[in-house]
Amino acid sequence: MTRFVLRRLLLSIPVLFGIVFVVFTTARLIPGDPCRAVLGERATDATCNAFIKRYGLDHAILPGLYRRGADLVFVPADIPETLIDNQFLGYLGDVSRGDLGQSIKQSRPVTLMLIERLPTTIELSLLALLIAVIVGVPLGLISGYRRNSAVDVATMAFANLGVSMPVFVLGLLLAYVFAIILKGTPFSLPPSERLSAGVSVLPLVKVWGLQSVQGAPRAFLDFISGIYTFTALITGQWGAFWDALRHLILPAVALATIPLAIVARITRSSLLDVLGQDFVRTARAKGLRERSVVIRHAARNALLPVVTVIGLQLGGLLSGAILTETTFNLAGVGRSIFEAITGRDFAVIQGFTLVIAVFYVAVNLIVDVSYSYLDPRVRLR
Amino acid sequence: MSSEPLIKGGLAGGHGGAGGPGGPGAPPGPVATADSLLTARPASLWRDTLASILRQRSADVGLFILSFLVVVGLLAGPSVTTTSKGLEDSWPAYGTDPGGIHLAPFDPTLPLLGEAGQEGLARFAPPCIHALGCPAAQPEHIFGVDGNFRDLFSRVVYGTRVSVPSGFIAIGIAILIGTMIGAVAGYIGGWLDNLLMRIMDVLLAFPSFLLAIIITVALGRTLNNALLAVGIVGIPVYARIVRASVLSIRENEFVTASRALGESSLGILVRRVMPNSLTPLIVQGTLGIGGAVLEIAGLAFIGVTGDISVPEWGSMISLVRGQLFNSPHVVLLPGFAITLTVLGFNLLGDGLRDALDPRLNR
Repeated sequence: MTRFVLRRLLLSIPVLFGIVFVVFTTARLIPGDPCRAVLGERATDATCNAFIKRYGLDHAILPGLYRRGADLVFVPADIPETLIDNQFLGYLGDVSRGDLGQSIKQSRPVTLMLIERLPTTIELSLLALLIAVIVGVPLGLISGYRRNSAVDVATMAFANLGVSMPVFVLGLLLAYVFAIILKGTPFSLPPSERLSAGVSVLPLVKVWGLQSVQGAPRAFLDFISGIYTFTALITGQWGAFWDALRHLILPAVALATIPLAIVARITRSSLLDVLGQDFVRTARAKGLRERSVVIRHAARNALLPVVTVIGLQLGGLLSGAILTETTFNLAGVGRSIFEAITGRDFAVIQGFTLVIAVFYVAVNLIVDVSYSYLDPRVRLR
Repeated sequence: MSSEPLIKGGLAGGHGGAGGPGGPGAPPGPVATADSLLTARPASLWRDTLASILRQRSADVGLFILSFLVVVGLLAGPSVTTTSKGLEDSWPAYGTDPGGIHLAPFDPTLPLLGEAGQEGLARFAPPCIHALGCPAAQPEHIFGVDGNFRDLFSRVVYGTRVSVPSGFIAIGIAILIGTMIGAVAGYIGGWLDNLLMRIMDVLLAFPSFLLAIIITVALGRTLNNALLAVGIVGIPVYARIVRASVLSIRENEFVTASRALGESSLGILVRRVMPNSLTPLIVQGTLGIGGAVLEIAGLAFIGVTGDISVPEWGSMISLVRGQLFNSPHVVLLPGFAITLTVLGFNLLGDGLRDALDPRLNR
């Protein structure tokens, strides 16, 4: 088991390196003059030269490759001397020291921005995943067991529709139904932002009187405080908790629909597979109650592939989060990356994308490991 | 339409025995008198496969939806395209019949305010259908009017011409490049296989939509680049599928036989191995088109496809998102059009999978 985990860990190192490389070069290939993207069209050449020097953009991007204004220039003669002295290796060094650089636009460390924005996305994605699992798995089990029943037909029709509707269309539809049509009823829900005006969640450092804490622990506390529902819940700020949760429901449901549909379908077909197997017949033959056969024997085995699918859906959730955040006006990671791409804020694009990719690789690793834990046959291979 | 390459593949690789059970591989009934052999329809791979696909209800519904969309797209009206010179709209002046069948009642790019019969036209006017009780004094627009006084129904109809082919093109790119990479990696193996597959791993390690945004912006914000980006992002999926089937097929005896007969590596790969790995590719490809249409619409929605004059559903929604609360029709109707298209591809993909590859029947 340990060897398996170690091997998978080692295998993800070249993948992570590749990710840093791809993100770095693609971000630098985005056409346009980075100086004028930040300072505006009226910046003079002198200003731009100073700007480019200030942020080290005059150094080679990769050996022999420079950006001069809006153009990329390749100087083969410079390759030997820029083999070490280039922006990519510099960035790699910074990253290995945990420094993700400074946002050019906001003049703040990227890590600070991450602490601010990442909680929104995590909160949204986790709630969406939770909804997908606690609704999708039972629905899949019921429709698999009662094949071709009304529940089954309805679930599968819903699943087909769910995977076909763009998350932003569903989000806008939900916003319309719950914020306009149901306005004034107890079912009305807010269609944007994370909290109502005037409502705020006290950060953990304030609640616990830890203002003196600095450095990494402080960053961690601030990060957790950004997950409003969780912070409000553990500190008993009930009013704020309810408000934050109400704001979260519509985006989370919109984001959850596609994974929910997929989880329901996989659970159903997996249960159908398992119900036809010999050990289920054996369980029935030895006179177990039907409930016990389905829940204890069949369902437990049927959920194995579901674990993989849930893990795979996390990547999709992050993609969906970009659209959901745009639709519901939430300042999360997805929106930040999009804004950074349009503003050529290299450090932010790189830092945010890298964190997401690392997170994604880690989730895949955890899924693989948990799978081999749940199904010993996988380990033997 | 998508069954065509399968049939060719099935024929060419018929001796490989990898044809889908119940379809290409099913022998004709063994008990046949000479008489019935003369009168019965000859067993045809084409017909058998088509029949087994049509037996799937979801494939039928999917095919119906897609045929409907193709007809709508074809009969939308005179051509409206974006070229490097800008918009080229071959609709005649307002009030002149463009001739032929045109499902779009109006020029999709023409603001109608002030034209004859459009008096009192309001910006973002909701749908007005005279047969359903809309006052006759108001101009009829069955999907309402958008923010530029254009007929929304005409725009949604024209959007079919962009979205349906765009899914095909994006997945076509992904399949083409993915197949080449997967085939080379699987057939040649060794360090090349390792290198190519690690590159695919890197691509797969990104949330695909994020990567598509970055690529689109890096290439330049146009719809064509968005298609290309969605295609590039899809490559690893197909590369893996092809590699996996090449790996299993090249161990077959019929491949060894071809090699013994002196066929070249390339010949074996193209004529023996590839045709037999087509089934999973077609199934995944059809399912992938739906996803590609979703991604392209998403890219258009967040605005990285730039300003396109030809109506495209995602960007139509993007531009008027703020109108949701006052004029929901301009936001939701194009959204339903996207949903219908994706639903069509997904249902057809499900049906194809069930018909062609029972092993994948999940």
